[in-house]
Amino acid sequence: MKKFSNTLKYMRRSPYQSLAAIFMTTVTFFIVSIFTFVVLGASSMLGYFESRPQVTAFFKDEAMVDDIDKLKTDISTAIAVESVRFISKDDALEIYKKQNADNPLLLEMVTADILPASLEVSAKSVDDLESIAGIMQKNNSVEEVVFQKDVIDTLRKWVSGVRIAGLVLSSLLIFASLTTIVVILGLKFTAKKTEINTLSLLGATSWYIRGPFVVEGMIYSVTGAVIGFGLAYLVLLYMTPNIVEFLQDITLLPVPLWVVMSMLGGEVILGLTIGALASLIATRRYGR
Amino acid sequence: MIVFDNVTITFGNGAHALKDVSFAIGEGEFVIVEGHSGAGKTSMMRAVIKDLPISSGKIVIEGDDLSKISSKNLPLLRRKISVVFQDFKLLMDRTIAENIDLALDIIGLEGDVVKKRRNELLELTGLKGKENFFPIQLSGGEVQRVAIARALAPQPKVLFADEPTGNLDAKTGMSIIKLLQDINEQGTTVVMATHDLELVKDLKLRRLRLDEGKLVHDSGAHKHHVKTEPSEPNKDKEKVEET
Repeated sequence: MKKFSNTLKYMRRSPYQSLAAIFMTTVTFFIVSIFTFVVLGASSMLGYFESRPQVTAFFKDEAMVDDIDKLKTDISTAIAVESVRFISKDDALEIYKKQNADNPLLLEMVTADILPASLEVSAKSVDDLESIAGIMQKNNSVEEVVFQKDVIDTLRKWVSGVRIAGLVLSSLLIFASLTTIVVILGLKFTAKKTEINTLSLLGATSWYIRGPFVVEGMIYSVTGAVIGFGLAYLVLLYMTPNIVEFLQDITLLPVPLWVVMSMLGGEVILGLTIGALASLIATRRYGR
Repeated sequence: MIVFDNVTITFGNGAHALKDVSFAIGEGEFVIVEGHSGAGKTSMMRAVIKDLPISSGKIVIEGDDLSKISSKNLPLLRRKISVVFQDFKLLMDRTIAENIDLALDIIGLEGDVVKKRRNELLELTGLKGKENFFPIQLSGGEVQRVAIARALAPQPKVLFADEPTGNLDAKTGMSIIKLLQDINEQGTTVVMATHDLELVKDLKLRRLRLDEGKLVHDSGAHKHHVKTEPSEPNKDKEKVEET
């Protein structure tokens, strides 16, 4: 405890250096947190689509009940599916009304006639989507077939891209934070060379001399981690209404508390590691 | 206790700080190392605490070859052999109490024990009441006493004092020697380096005289033989009269 309070005292003696180190680590952990939230959200979205592999066939206006029944039979015979749901023109209108309840102008303009009847088929696997879509497209009464494989493929590419970009950017920023702490602690170590030499001559152990610097490095990075994460979480809370409206049925938010706490814990551990590593490098390098 | 066996210290430019120096100091002795500036007194002290590497020969401390003491065990050696440096090496931004506490903290003492030991040291060195002063607020003699108090903090077996009377007037210098004698009487081996031959000429203590890195005189050589266990502590020390 005494060492901790001594470290805080040393930090107060050179506030601008301390602030620079904390600022750098805050920026790093802010970016790390943002990317982590985005990757977690995108992965959840991907999981959502993958768990609901669905193909929708929109029928021509002249499609007959027999055609629709035939299509149902063809699909059920060929592939094991989760469910098949027919949505009539009237059902489609009801869905449309629900989706646009707050926009009366749109509701006035649309009637059941202009909305196509459709058949929603939920597959057991994403891999079956193409086969089901093929059967649908062969049916003459089908106007258009829409299925999520393209969406999932795009989302997969996007998640992978974000993950790689996040890792690269985070790695660069972590390296920059590490370097910043090494340089700042190195300067402080060099400035206290006389005192350190005296401590050594008085019989202080290496850890006694380096300990306060290691604690200082860890304080910088853990403070940065907590502030950076806090800011990123505030941004997420601020954007939550917009994200919820955009995602509609996909419920990603609010982020469960255990996820938030796990992320914070992980970042604190990462911060402790960065701080300890940086200060050990600094004291070893400048202590020669 | 301390054995120098043909110790030579050569600097990069070929100059010798010490050349083939051999002597032994027994437990409880008070030894004066005299010599002019540049004679090798400070180098000898630095070599004993492994602050200066020796080029050849051997230094043995309590039976342990100094060259075999690892850097991990070096702090233990430096707590056993304390040095009062010529330039004091006090931390000027800390009070007297904080300077002494630092040495106590290094050896792992905490709380009331620190306070008690600090008070004992302040009492011994006559600095009671000055604990909250900064070194710059003290006289030369008092600063020297702080350096001695701090050096005694880890209760060393040997106290090396490098020119403890260097910048002091004769009266203050004698009071410092008196203090060192008191410390010696309590069982600590004391080695005092000085260039002030006049100040110590009347002291009946063992003397080692260095000249240009060579040991030219050892008044106690007949009692000590290098490479043997140290003999009886010096019994014929003469206490300095109060001045």
